[in-house]
Amino acid sequence: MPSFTLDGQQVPYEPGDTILRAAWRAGIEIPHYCWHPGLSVAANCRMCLVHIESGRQMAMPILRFDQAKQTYVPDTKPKLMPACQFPAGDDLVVSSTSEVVKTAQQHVQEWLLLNHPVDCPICDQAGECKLQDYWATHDQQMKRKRTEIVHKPKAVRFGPTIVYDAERCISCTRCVRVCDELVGDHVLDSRERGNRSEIFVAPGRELDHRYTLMTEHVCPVGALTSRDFRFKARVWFLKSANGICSGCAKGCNMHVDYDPRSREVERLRPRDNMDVNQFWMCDDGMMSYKAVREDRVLTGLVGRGEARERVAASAALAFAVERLSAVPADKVAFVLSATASTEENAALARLAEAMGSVHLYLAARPDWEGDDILRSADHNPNRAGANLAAGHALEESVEDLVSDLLAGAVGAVVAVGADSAEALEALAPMAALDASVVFASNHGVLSDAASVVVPIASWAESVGTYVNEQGRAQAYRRAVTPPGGVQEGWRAIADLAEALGHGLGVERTEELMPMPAANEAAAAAEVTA
Amino acid sequence: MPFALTAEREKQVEALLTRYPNARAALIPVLWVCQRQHGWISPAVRDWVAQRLDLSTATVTGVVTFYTMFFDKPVGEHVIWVCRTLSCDLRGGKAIQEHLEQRLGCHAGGTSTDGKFTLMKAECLAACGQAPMVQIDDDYHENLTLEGLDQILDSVGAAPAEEA
Amino acid sequence: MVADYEPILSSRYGVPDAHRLAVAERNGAYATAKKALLTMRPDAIKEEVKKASLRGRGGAGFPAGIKWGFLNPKEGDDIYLVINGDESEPGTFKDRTLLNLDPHRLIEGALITCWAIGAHKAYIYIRGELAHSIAILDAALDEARAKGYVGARPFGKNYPIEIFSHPGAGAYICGEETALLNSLEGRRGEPRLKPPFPAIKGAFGMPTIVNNVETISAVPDIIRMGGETWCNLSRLAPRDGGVRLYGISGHVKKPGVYEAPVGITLRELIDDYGGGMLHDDRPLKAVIPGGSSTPVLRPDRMVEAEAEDHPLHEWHGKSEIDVPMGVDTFRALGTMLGTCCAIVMDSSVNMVDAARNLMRFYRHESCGQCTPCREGSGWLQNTLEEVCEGRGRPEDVALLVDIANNMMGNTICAFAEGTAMPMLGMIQQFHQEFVDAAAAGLPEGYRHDDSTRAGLAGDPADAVADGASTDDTSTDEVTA
Repeated sequence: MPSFTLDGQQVPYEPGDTILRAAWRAGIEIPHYCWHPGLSVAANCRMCLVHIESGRQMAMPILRFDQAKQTYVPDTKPKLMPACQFPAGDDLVVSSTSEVVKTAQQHVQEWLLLNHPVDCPICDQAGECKLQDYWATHDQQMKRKRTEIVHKPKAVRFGPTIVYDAERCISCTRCVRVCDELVGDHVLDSRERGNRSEIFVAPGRELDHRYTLMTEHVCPVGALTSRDFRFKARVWFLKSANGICSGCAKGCNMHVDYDPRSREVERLRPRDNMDVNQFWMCDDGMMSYKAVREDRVLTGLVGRGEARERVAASAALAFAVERLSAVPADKVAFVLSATASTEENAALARLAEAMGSVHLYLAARPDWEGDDILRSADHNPNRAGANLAAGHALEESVEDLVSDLLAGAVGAVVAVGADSAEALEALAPMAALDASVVFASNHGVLSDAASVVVPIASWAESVGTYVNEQGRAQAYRRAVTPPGGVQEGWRAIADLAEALGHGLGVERTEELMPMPAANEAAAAAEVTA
Repeated sequence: MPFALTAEREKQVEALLTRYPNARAALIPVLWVCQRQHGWISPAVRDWVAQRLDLSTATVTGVVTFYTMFFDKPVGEHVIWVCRTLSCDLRGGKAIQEHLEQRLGCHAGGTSTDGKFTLMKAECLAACGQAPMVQIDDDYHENLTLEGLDQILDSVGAAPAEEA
Repeated sequence: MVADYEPILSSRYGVPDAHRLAVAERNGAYATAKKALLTMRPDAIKEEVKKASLRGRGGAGFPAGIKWGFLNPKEGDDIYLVINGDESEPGTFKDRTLLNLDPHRLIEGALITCWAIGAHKAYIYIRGELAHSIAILDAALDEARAKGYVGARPFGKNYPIEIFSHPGAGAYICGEETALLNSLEGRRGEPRLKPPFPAIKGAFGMPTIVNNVETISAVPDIIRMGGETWCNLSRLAPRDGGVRLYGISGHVKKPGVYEAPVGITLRELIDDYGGGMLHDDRPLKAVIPGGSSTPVLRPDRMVEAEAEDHPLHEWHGKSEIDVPMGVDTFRALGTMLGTCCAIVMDSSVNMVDAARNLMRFYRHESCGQCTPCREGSGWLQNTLEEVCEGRGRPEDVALLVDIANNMMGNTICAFAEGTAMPMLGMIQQFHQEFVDAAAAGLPEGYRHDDSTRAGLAGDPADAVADGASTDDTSTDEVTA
């Protein structure tokens, strides 16, 4: 593999790599703001300047103060190159840590802070801000400008999701490039000139495409903030778990950021995966953490409508056992879910097999709008995983279940997950059953139609896998503990199975994953703090 | 109120579009045609240009605000640019500006109260050998003296100088 | 002064109505283009331009013949000629004379150049303020088209050449070749990353040669008399050939544009062409040789070139203003020839105030893309304002040097060098004046504050007392 020398060590590179990209691949940090591995090169921040020590040297004329003469005399310094722009090549000897480079970095840092407001105490970016980070590592001096900063508009509403602060902005144009290159929507641009430059939204428009939160994600400073996250949490109190988005069949990898003190999920961020979502998530995916906090089934529920009562989860389970025992085992319908984990679906499928029932159905959210960027039209994270758990492609939908109920082919329902494409009215036959048991973390049409609802943990409170549209099994880890009394889905199902006399004999989540690939994927997923 | 070009200016735009391999390259010349008619690039003008050239309004606004000579706010009937870069300053540019501000009753960046003149400071206008000078709309007035400047202002209809 | 000098480049300046094709043609226009297009091979034309050692007249002084050789087009590429008439460098006003007085020379040069480099289209980018010059050029182009010199069959040759003017709209940075290309394409005038260079990927992604108005205007003379002959007109032949336009402004009796061979001295330019100092009792203090981006020279500084192999050895011990004005000589002198338009300052000028004037210009004109220039140019102006207004500190001189030093070489384009080098040059040449100003502000009589204001009424001096920002906000905003 070809390689070049960076600070004395050999760094391999691929054809077309720049110095910075090759370093990034190797996990070596050359400080930068405007470069992003998923975007075109802008080379405007000048933080990544390095000294190419090999090859022809270009000298820049400068002045040096001569103590003896007590005046300034001509001197030279080497010309530095932006690592994000300079192509990697054999025989290249690069320094990113020499004195001349450090001087350049320190000056860029001072310049970026020159007209930057000291907003840290009220700025959401604090704690994950490159200006703070690089000041600490590459500057550590007070800026020498003595007068007011150049004042610009603050707290500008760019759209329903994003707020812009022009004073905090360093004009790196990552946000403009994200909209142009990821989304193909030229809704942002720069206006004015020089140190009056700002980012703005196309007049007559808002920042309103499906990836607006990616502008905040790439913003290295607090210029772009998420309205949803503004003033909510200090990032240094947050920990992260590896998650997989439950929004669609893409299976975007994400960081689930939670506050371990309150055990609340506060936000999601994309997790890089070059094979799935590269560096990105859509806005719907980014907001999908709300399902962890809102509209939760927190207790057991028995009865319907006015008569519905809250009971302990264990009581709901007992009620379910009683009702199901009154139905012949082979007439129980099992509804797997394209929104549930492979493990939850596997538990249900095994119970069905143990009870000798062949009536398997698949509930799924209806299609939504996909695109060529990330979003799958399949609004379900785990259709493939549900089929995997069943051992065969599930042909029968909830609509088919309704027909079978009407025909008397089945007389009871056990479902995991509450989402389905139908309206409640269409589920009348299910809503008429005594034994209609739904395991759910959030309310939905199936839990509305159920006679018993057993609460289960959400994806943020569980370990599990989703199999995406590529057939890739991806594991997510638990971020927070479930609310009191609420179990992981497969465990609640295993308890039901046990109580029905069909114990699954499963101790750990991993045992439910049917495919070796899924096991490996789960084993490879790491928790990150 | 939507913007529309006169028939003659519309013809100019059509001719301009034939000069370039794409419509975007005609943006600055087309903005000039519009500003010559309308005096400034109002939101209606901006939207018209964006639509005519199939460009985002962000693109048009980004260009308009980059270039000093395009106005995104209304200006007076006439725009007076006074050059204040070094060669002109060495030959009295500051005095020219002060005199203009007195005559027009506004500071640079502002418009005279009768709305007739917007006064702008300009950077080097490539008339250094004929300093000091001003540009009024398209015309350069060079080798200025204060008396000569007064006559020029009279001829373009500036209010007379107030008695001291 | 050059005795009995016959103007070549400006030979038609004194001819009334030479901007009209009929008059220009009667005085020699288009004869060379016809000969070049109909009887010369492109390679032969390029060879003459190389022999001429025509150094780019826009400021960088890069040899035009070598630049033309950078073209390496692929099958199916369109090649463009783009002519830089953005002339916005403070002190510079020579291209304007060519546009106004002899546009047909430029058109003729463009025709020959297009044929030589394989281009079928040329755009002449002219700064937006020169509305009359654009109109004159457009009329001249119409005449040339009507005569069949520009268009589908120039001089009957089956080689279409179309030439258009293209206006700027007020942005000095558009004189930078890649910013000019962006502006031509209808974009913000922000310079591009190089490589790729315009000869490889320029206008509309195609191979492009960008040359200054005066450079292209010199081409007909070069072809007419032969490159070597033209080159040898210069006092600095063979490396810096021919004749050129010199500008002179500031404190001289006869500011203006003058033609002379390459290599006259600043002393000749000031005394012989410029008529000497404006005021007999105010001697020359400093002269900026070629537009504001070139470091200032002092008549009382002597050339230090003792070593025999030093390029300026011939002028060792002589005044800086006695060195022949050439691209290479002035680089060796620690400055640059730039646009070859001198700004003359007499003893009444305070260099700190002059520096403030120029740094305000650079702050106003910075495109803002990259950090060192966007913030550095503003900070230089800000610091000089503080110093000039008496709020300076002793460390401000070192601060100015530090800011400028660290802008050098660290930016996307050479604008930063154009800002930093004159700043460094002024401090190096007039250090004590800066020290004094940092300690006590400008001397009496220099205290002015045109760069700050607050509100529409009142004495501008009050605005400073209010503590208003000394980041000049007034230059370009229209307050409705």
